[in-house]
Amino acid sequence: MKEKNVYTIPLSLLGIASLLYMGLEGSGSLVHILPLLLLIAILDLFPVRLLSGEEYSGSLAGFLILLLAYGPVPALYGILVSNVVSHLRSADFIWRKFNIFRLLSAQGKYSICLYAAHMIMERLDGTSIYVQAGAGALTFSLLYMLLAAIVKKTISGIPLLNNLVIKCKEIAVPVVLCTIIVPHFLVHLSLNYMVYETIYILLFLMLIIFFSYGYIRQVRLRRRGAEEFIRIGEMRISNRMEGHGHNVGIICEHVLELLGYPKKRRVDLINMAAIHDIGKMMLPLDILTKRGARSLSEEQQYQSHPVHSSKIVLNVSGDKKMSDWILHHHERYDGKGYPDGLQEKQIPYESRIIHMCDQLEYLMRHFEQDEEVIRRLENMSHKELDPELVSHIHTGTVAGLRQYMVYIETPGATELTSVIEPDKQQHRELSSITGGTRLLKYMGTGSLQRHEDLPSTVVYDLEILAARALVLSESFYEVLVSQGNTYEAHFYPETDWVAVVLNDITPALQYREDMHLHTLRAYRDVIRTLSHSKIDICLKSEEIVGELGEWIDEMEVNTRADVASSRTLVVQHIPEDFRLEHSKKVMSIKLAVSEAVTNLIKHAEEGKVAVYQKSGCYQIYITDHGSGIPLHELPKTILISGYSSKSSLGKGFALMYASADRIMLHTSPDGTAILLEFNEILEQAI
Amino acid sequence: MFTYRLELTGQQITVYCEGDIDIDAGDTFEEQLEPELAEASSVILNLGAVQFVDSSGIGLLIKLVQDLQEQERQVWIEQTQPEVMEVFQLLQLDEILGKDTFR
Repeated sequence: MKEKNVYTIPLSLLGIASLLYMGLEGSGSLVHILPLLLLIAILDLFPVRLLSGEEYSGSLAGFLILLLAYGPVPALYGILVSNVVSHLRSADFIWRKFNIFRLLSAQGKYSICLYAAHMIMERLDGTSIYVQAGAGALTFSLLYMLLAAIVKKTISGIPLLNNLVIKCKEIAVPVVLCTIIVPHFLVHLSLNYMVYETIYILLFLMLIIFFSYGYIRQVRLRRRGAEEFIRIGEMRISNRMEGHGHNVGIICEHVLELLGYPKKRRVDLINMAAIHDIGKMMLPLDILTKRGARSLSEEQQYQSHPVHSSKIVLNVSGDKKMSDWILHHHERYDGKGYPDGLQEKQIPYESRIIHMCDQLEYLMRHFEQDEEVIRRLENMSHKELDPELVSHIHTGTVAGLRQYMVYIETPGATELTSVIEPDKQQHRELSSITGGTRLLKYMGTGSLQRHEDLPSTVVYDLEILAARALVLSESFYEVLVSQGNTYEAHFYPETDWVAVVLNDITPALQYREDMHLHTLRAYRDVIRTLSHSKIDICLKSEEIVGELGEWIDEMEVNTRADVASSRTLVVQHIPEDFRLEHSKKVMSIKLAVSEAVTNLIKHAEEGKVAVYQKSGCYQIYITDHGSGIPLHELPKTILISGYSSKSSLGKGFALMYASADRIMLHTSPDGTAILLEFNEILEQAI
Repeated sequence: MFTYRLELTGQQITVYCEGDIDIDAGDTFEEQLEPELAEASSVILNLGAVQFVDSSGIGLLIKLVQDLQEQERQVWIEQTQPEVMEVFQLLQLDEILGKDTFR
């Protein structure tokens, strides 16, 4: 809704009419009423501020005095003065900001109210002056309340009867004030008296204003202080969350207005809403900034933040109720929330409000369309959120809230980097294994926006794949390798464009490789010691290849029957006289080969067995392209001989260990190579 | 290649094994031999013609013998070749199945 609408335009026209009327009727003697006009101006210049944010100026009393003593036209002058002063004040006395339309429509509103009050008081003429003043004040205030509510309804969509009870209570203040002050003035209506009275009231007002300003300043300071701490905390948590607390506070303030929440407790609740996440500062940074899903223990830790927050609040305020509001701000309406799993009305009303404001802020931050925000908020109704609360929020509300939101506050942002830096140092090791991730958009026009640091071949491949994703409208991922870098690209097609998430996984792969080498070295040392240098774990497959002597024979291994064939192959190259003389030795060679090839069949399915000779030493070289063997099993198989070691690898390896004179082993995710050596077998041969 | 021949004497079955017992013998053991022994109250495994057994083969033997023993049936292993016996000892098969299983 616009500010200028069918309702406010007639009001402003009425305002113009009222000004014209004042001009035509003539000012009479303005001198008489000058002290009163001055009083009105002062009252409007320094209204009494209340903590709820409402401001009371006693100018209504001035209007009624003018009306009763001098008639409608001077009263209209009083209204004009009051209007101009209060509008100037709300425009911070900057002429550019002065809204003449609002002034006119306010003048219109006041004129209607004044006319009605005038009518009522004329009817009551002859009765007590107190009754007249009271009735006039009541009429004026009630009518004004009604007119203002209609304006709010047409401009911001706030329901007509919103806050009715509270507003009626508030009307009591001006009515009582006028009933006392107005007759008092009218009795002593002389110029001297008015000057004296004006100064007297002024002094009184100054005293009240002095204290109220001091008090309000302290309260503001406290709230701003808390908000600033939260903001620093949010900076530390994540740049994306900056201003979240502040925004939730603002949303809460407006939501409470819609709900008609008692004004007395509003400020407390707004403050709590602003600092609801303060407990997150107690959590380790890596949990808060983790990109993927949190592990179970991390999730538990994360879910402890309301408990931390509530403890902090309890320490600061000593108020158990307020700390409970915070404690339960992640409870869900359906009972699936935390920390206590409360449901529906078990959850404190205030916690439900904070939860909704929290979610609303999050949605408004992520979705620019107000309709989308409302759609998602309504989806949460009954599940996360109290449906009654959600029913108060509409697209108009969201649109209204947007103008108060703070998303980026540039001043101070750079200074705060020092808060984040020390933590970044600690996490450097972690971040060094994750490469850059970026989001690219493929708009379906055949070319992706260029990125200077990406190899052109990768961009070319991405374009082809993105075009395919668009045609198939299916998401998939692909690994691309170029210039020593490895990228993982995920394609998410929308209706007419494709989101491409490109991960540089080079550092992660390098990290894995480093870790693997590190582990291999550790195992090599352990196993070399345990096996008295009989087993050698090789870090690179080339180390084994370098040990190989002269090639004799080889065969492919594909099926279980090849286990027997490989034994035959190995035995047939052993000289016949050795076979007859050392049948036990031959048996142990057969056994070792049988075990090694059985492992190959079981774990890799296919591979190769080759035999070599190197100065009398018989070498059996078994390779496969399986996914490698678990090295952590090896020390166990050496220490525990016999069948008692349960693992299938164990038995086999223990037998190889017992049979062979030396074993070299290389294993990696790309495959395994084993070299079995048997000394002094082929000496007589060749 | 593993093969076997059965000889029935009353309630006693003698299994004459021949060839190598390795991973390749698994199917023959589990799908053919085991069901055929279901009726016998005592079983004799004759390994006289078995020249080679590896750890997979020993695994098959252990499973077969222990299954039969659990059903309270008597099992013996006899005429094991010395080279094969050496592998049995290497893997402490006599301790696992009980020394009186061998004869």
